[in-house]
Amino acid sequence: MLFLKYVFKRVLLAIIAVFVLASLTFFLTRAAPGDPFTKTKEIPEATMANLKAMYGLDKPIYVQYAIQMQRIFLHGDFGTSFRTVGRDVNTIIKEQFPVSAKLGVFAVGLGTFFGLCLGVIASLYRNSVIDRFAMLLCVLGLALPGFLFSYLFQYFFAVLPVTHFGFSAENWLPSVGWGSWKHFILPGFALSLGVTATITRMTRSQMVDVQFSDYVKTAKAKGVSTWRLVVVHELRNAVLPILTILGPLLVGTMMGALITENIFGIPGLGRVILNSVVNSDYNVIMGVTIFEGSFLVLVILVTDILYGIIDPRIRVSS
Amino acid sequence: MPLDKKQKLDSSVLALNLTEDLFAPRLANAEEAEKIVRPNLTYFQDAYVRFKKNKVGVFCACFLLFITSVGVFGPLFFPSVGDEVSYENSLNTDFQNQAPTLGKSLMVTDESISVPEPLFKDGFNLEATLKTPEELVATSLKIQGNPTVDGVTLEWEPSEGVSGYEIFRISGESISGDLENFKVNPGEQGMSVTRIDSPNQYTYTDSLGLDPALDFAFTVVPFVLNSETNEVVYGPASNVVSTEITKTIGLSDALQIDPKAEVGGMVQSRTFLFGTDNLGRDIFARMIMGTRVNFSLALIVPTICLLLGLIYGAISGLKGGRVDMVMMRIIEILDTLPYLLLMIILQLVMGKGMFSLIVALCAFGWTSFARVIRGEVLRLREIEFVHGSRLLGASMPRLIFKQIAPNLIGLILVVWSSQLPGVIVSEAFLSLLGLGLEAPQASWGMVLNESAQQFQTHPMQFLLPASVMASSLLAFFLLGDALTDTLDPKLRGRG
Repeated sequence: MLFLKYVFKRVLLAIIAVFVLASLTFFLTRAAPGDPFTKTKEIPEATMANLKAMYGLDKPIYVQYAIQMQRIFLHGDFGTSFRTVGRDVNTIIKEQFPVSAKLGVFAVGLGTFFGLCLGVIASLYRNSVIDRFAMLLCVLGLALPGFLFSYLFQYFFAVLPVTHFGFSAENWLPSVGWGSWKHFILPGFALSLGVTATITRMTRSQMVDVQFSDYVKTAKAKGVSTWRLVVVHELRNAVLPILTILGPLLVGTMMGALITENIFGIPGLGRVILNSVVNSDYNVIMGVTIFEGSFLVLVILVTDILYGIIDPRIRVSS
Repeated sequence: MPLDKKQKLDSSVLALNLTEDLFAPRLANAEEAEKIVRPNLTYFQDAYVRFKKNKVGVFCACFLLFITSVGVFGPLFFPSVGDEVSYENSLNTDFQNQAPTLGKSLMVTDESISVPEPLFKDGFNLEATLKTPEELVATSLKIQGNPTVDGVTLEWEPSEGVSGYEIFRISGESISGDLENFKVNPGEQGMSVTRIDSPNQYTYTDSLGLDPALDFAFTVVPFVLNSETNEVVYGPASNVVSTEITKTIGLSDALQIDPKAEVGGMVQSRTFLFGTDNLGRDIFARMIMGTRVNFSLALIVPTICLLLGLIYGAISGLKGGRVDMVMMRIIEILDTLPYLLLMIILQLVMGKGMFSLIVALCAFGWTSFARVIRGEVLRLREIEFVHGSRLLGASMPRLIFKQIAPNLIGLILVVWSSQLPGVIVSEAFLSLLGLGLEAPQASWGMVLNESAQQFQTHPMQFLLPASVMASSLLAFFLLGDALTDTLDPKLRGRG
């Protein structure tokens, strides 16, 4: 019963969060200077009025707000692009989101795998060379933004080998583009460094905490093999808090990938956002923001609830 | 105890010459035991002592101080920071895409560059009988005037009875070792510059491929030409003269650098430590301007966030109950919003500029302060050491300044310092999207954005600013870690 109440509270908060986000973006974009039509050339007044009527911009702001909210929450419709006639935001998201999602999942998966390995090894051999290396990697990954790695990776691993070391462009890693598995590697690794650093740091500190607990001592006294001790007794407990950050980390990586996507010419949501920023296409920005925001809220919600199911302590204490 | 051991012990004790009074019992002095002998350090003295031991932290602090002072005082030492080439949008083709260079001395020359005509000696017996090869003697060679990239003028002693002279030169980054060989065998070691078929010419100006980065050495060799066999016989080479080449600059260009420049004088060329970008702007100068912008942001934004968070968190923590709950729910909602995207929208709405940048960066940064401060206020209201201190008879100011404030200050500084690198990254993020500041101004993110456009053709333009930014971010990050270790008493001594 307590847990149900907890879930209910979480869901309510999530709905409010999405609503606040939608309202915030609506009023912000309506407050933006100028209108999205007059950017390139002067438009006659009659045309302007027709355009505004077409997009419903001639109505009072509260009516627009009501219509917009109704459309978003009842029909899940984010409207149409102001710049490209007939392109509606839903189609844009449907086309571009999977690209961003694939890259994000790849980067987070890679980062989680390396982070877990490195974190466990670092905790097992504390203050060794490997531990030092892991900590150095953590500092680099946490302090430096993904786009810096993206630029550097692109230059040193894609451009330089072809121009200076005579690798053929067809066989080597491509510097831009999307399509084959090769296109995943550089942006994926560039984005995964931050994830690796976060996970390594968490895993290491969790493992160190767990290593001093009584049940690990008991298991050791019982004569459990090192492998079984690490994987079954320690890692299983240490990994729980890491699970909670994976979801937000995924969404964060996807949103942070905005610039990485542009660097590597990946046709994901990042490019959509950049283009709509350049063109002041507010409807698209708004749609994408609400979509990604809802996705983030949803991921956090699911993580919280799942965590409650996995770890009974959370369920009871809340 | 066995008997023999005891005897040994006795003899060694006797040898020490111990007296009875050494064994007087030391009386416990209750007052002495309670005395506090260690000096009473204030919170920051204590933190300073601990911070000094953290080598990484001290190094990072010094590095950031260095960058800050370059940002503050840089324009004094690099005058180019202050002029229009540096950060206005004026297209200056003379300085486009230059590699990093240090300033060089340039010789001011006339605009009309012309190679001086060769000079001939008067009253010379051109019809003199040709010397035999054994009679040829080495002449003496010297350099006339200033050797510049426009030309090196050589002058030598002409002699009668030769067919002409051949001039050889050798060049390289360090040629001093080769000069002996060059003198013995100029044709093999160096290259022939020209062959002069006139015995009375005594000057020649070499103007081909003179590289100011290299040293040059010249020698002149007289020769006789057998008109029947067309065979050339060389005499001994003259003395070798070596020289460096001075770069020149036209008078009108020189006047732009130094209004007092005159022909024949020297001017100092511009120093471009980081090179120039595709608009001819000095990247180092722009980085200095960027340092001012970014470090101001890194100080202003977390401070504003701190103030907002302090007010919000303190109200929430002190009021408690329903107010606290609502205020915390608001923070929870704000924290789930995609702040990067909202920051973009905020920037779009408010336009480019410092003010809107600050607002956009502050809008979503204050919640972490609010949450941390609220938790701390809640905890400090009820904590034991505050009770304990009160029981010991501490006065109210002592309670506040010695017990509560240090706990809040440490935490505030930790959160504050952890936000600094994030501000720089967010600024770069917005600038890379073309938001941020307007063009004549410069920030690190803008410099990166501009140089990233031609990263593949001019990698240095990107790598140098990027390494400045990366090292500052690392320093901020490690400094934050060091401050956490020294300022947060709860984390003290944890690995």
